[in-house]
Amino acid sequence: MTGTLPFTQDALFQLNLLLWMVWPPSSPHSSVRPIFREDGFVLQSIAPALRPSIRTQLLAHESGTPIQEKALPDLLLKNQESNTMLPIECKLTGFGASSGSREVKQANILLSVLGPELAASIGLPKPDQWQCYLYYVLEADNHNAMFETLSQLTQHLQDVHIKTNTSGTIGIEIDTDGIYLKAVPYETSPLPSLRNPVPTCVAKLEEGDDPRPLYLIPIDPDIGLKDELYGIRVLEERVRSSVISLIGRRLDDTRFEVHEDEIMQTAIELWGYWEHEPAKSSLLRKIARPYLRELLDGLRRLGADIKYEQRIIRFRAVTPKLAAEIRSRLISRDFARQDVALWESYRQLSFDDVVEGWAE
Amino acid sequence: MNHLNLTSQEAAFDFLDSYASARKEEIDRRKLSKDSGFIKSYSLETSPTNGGVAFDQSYIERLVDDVRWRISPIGQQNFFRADDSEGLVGFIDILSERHLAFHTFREARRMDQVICNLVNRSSRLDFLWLSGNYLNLLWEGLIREYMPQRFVTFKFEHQGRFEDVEWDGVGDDESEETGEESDEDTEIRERRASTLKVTARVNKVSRFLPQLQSVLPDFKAIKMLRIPATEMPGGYEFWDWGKVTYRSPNFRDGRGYLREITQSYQKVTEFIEQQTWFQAEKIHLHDGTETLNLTGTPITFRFPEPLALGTFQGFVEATFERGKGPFRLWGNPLRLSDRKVHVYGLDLHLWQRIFLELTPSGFTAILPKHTCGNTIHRLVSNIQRFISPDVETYVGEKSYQNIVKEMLLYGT
Repeated sequence: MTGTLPFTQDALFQLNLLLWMVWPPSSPHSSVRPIFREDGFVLQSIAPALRPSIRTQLLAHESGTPIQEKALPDLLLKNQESNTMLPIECKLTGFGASSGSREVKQANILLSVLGPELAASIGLPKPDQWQCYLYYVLEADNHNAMFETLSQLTQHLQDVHIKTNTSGTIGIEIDTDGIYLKAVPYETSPLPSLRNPVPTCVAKLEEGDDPRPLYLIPIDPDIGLKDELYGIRVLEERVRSSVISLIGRRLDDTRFEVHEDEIMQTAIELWGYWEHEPAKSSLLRKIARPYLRELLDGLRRLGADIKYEQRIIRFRAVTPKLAAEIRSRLISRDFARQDVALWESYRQLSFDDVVEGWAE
Repeated sequence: MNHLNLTSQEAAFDFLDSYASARKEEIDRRKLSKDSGFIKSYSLETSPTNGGVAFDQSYIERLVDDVRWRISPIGQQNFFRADDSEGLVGFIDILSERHLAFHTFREARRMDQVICNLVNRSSRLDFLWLSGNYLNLLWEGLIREYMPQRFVTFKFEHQGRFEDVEWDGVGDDESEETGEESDEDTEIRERRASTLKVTARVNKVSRFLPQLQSVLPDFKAIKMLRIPATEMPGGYEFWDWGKVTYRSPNFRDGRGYLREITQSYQKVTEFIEQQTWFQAEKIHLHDGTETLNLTGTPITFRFPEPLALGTFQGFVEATFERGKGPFRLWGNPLRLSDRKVHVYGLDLHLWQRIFLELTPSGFTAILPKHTCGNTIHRLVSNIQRFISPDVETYVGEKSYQNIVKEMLLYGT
């Protein structure tokens, strides 16, 4: 449990790296250079639902262009000065333009929801003056090919009279001395930091350093957690620390309650906005509840009067002595090392159980 | 003294002023009796999640339940008397909606232990952590500037505690605050670090202190600063964990300093919380739809001199693997490499969550919503004392020192 966690670039890493580049007003010592912020972009939203216009849908239907009801890019950034919005989609690898895959349908929407439509739906002033620039973010080896795909999809949409956004790709390269970003095409990038034929360093590394920042989002159900061991470990530790925090700080009361949803909301900031109830239930049923039951059994052995029913954990008759014993148990090394076992549980969930976007 | 009939806060302050004055006379006659301690105030912070809860008698009783004091209000709602089986222990003084001070004249060693145990066993109380940065600003802006002919006392302490991987957990933070009532002006003690106490005229200290700190940054880790009393001999010793020892014949004057410092401290804490609390937030759009955003900003601690790998690993090992040491943090360290560790853990003072990235060059902290900003004061204070005395701390893009300065100067 305390061994090192080897790094491989995955979509969850990409998403978290991008969030660090736009999320915080940065200190001079920030480990990640916030180039989006430096270039005037702020986070508008996470996984917003983009809907094609009626006209686009009709034209797509007429021409047999693969399209779907909506698409949820991972991030939407905006620059108030240049009236530019950047829908950004993270992908580990690219895809070809010829298939009618889910990825192609999603890309067709992201290419065709134009700046004025998006600005109007958000409620930005003077929506007609806004433009969209779509970015796909990929591992550096894959982003040139992805740019070709975007060019082909754009050409097809234009051929069937669907107006399109400008688009490009950003490749993330992890080198021994830093994390580098390169845009294609670089000359016209809306990000001045990337208007450069050579890759731009966004984080310095020393030989042997790990590139992962703290994960702001431990799970993105739109991406899934298939092989993202570090994301799962983060989720495990967040569930664990949430349970301890919620119980530990209420033990000064003689009776109190903790709701399952409260635990998950504390562990995953986006939990309350995740609309797909079956997927949430799966996570709760297969992951959180078995862990909670085991934890509560241990506390009952200390003499605690605990009822766990209808998704609520109720503590009664907590004395100062019992509170001290429970707190001691909660922070014991045995407890810290007890498996939350998300990894094994997650393997048992089918991908469809958890693939769903956030609330619109 | 046990049968004092104090009917108002003013009467209690009169009593404490008389008590302070009597102690000063005893000192002047060199007859300070063994049982006559100086007045001490312990400034304590409550959790922000208690916001809205009134400091009434029952709430105070719950806060101090562990020590079984009898609490009774004196006069208005903001002042209480505490008694135990031996009689009057002291007074609980509500300084703001999240800070209280406990004033007592009982023996320091015993009361230090009582208060430390009370805080350590509670999920609602923490100390007021006046880091070296904080005390240095009081020195520069208040004492050095306006009191050049007065005597000032500093106690510096920096311990390279994690340089010893086999650290045994003995000699924890607050419990060492005993014995400071010695009349010795200078005390030099060698352990695994140097502790130095200096009493000298302000204008003299202002000449040598910058040189001392530039040669050895350890002297930026200020453990105690004595603020000279107003128009009186003596002063008030402000310890880095929020304790004040009154070495002056006036209680009200020292309490006035404590109140002002606590108020500016609260503003810094609230600023930290406003800036840093990490949360997902739903935004309602004009067309009736909703979208999500993330708010907050990280806090970064940078060490001008990167820690030796052994020191870094010693810190992680002692703090997280063995659950020992002064930081009182908890969590499973996720080791990304020898030089990078992530912890999605807890601050055990208030049992609230904190996310940490730890490297030999510095730490980055994220405070999820509701985690008390006081955590950052404590981290700064303990990092200065035990890891890097000249640590540079940033809350987002603003330096911690500047935030403290702005709050002290302008209050906004």
